[in-house]
Amino acid sequence: MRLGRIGPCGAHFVLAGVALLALACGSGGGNNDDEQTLREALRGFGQFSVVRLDTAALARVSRPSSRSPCRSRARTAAWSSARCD
Amino acid sequence: MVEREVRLTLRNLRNPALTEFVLKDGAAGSGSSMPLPAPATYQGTVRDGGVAVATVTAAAVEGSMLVAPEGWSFIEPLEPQLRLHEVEPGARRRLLRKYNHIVYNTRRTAPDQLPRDDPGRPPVVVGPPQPPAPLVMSVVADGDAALWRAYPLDSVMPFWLKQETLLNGVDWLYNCVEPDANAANAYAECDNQFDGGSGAFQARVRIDRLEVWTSGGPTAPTRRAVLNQSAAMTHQSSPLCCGPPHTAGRSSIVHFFSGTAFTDGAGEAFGIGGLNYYGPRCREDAGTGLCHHAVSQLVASQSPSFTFNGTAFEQLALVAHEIGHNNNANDIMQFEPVCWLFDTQCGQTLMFTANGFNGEMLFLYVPLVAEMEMGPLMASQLPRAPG
Repeated sequence: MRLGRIGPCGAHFVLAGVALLALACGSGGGNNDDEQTLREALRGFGQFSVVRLDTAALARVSRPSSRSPCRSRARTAAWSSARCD
Repeated sequence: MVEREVRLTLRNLRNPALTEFVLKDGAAGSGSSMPLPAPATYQGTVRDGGVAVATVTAAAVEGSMLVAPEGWSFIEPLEPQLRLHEVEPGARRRLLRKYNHIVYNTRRTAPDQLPRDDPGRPPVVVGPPQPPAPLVMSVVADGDAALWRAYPLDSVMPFWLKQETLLNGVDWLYNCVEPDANAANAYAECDNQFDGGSGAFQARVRIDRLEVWTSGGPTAPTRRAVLNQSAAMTHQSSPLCCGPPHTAGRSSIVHFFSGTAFTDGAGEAFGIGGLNYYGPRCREDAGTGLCHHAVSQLVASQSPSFTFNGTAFEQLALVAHEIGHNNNANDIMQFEPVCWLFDTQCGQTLMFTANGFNGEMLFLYVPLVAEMEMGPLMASQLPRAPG
């Protein structure tokens, strides 16, 4: 995840698509029992992906400064296209 | 993998007097309140077309994004779902070290099977269609002790944030919002087809109270009984907590968010068209009476008689469905397609649940119902927005 300021009140951050894809659905190794547990627990979701977001960074750049009510910018990946094949 | 640029504007839905959430201890007959953190509810637009609605805190992101051609996608925190699905603590910890959110597109969700929640009573007859004017739909959010346990304060999504997050989605639906058009967080022109607005009403959600029972309170196993209990108990305050009694009666809607897996269905409204009504008919049974209350179950169903998966998508759909009943919309019994994304995606309305909430469901009311039944009632019952 890259993060950078763009001006006094906005923020711009990119969730790199490749990195996110690697994190999704447990690809890249890990405890297979846990991955199975995850799939079982979330089967009511249908087709889904699991991802890791740096929420603290997102919250920092999303919150407008106290001096200005200006809006934040967030550039994110994967919301609309993510799936767990 | 598609990258989308989202511009978010803070959308503070809180009544200026709402600075604390309330914990009601029904067993002790007492209550307390705690300061609310700063609002974290946002709405915004997606570059090249689209809308985003989200809560963003330092620990969680929950919300949705509507873009063409992908449609409607959700993100929600993983921690509550692992806990609510009873994943054992060790596996939960390991999984949460790797992942913290779930993302999915509503078109690829698992379908529900829901029983009817509408007794088939006619809507309130009010008058002819009204030109939409900015209105305020004030809401008291209450919840049972099961909600308190399902979304505790140490969760990334405590009960009050869950309530606020869902009501942010309702605000998006009812305000026909086009956030990019108005930096002042005020009303925008209802001309953004991404929101699916039919132009029949425009009401901004204002949250008057965020509260929960930590013990006692409504505890029945059925939605109907909890709805009756909510109508009687939500209006209690003194001696339980925080000011004179019956202040909930001043709000347009009381929505009871339940952490109980009901045995008879996931949600119910107290009649059709109970918006802003808090009077003698609230003391009747919910099956025959009328009141500004509704109840929605937020957790997955345990009942063999119906399916409700309890995802953020289904929670929001259910809450909007029940508030639709408050606002005079009946269930739609015959499939009638509704469309958004400039007519590129069509599906079923919020008020058609014969197939449950599934991938075909869009966050839309049927335009004719909105114009002829919902809009006139809202115009007659809701105050104009200031300014």
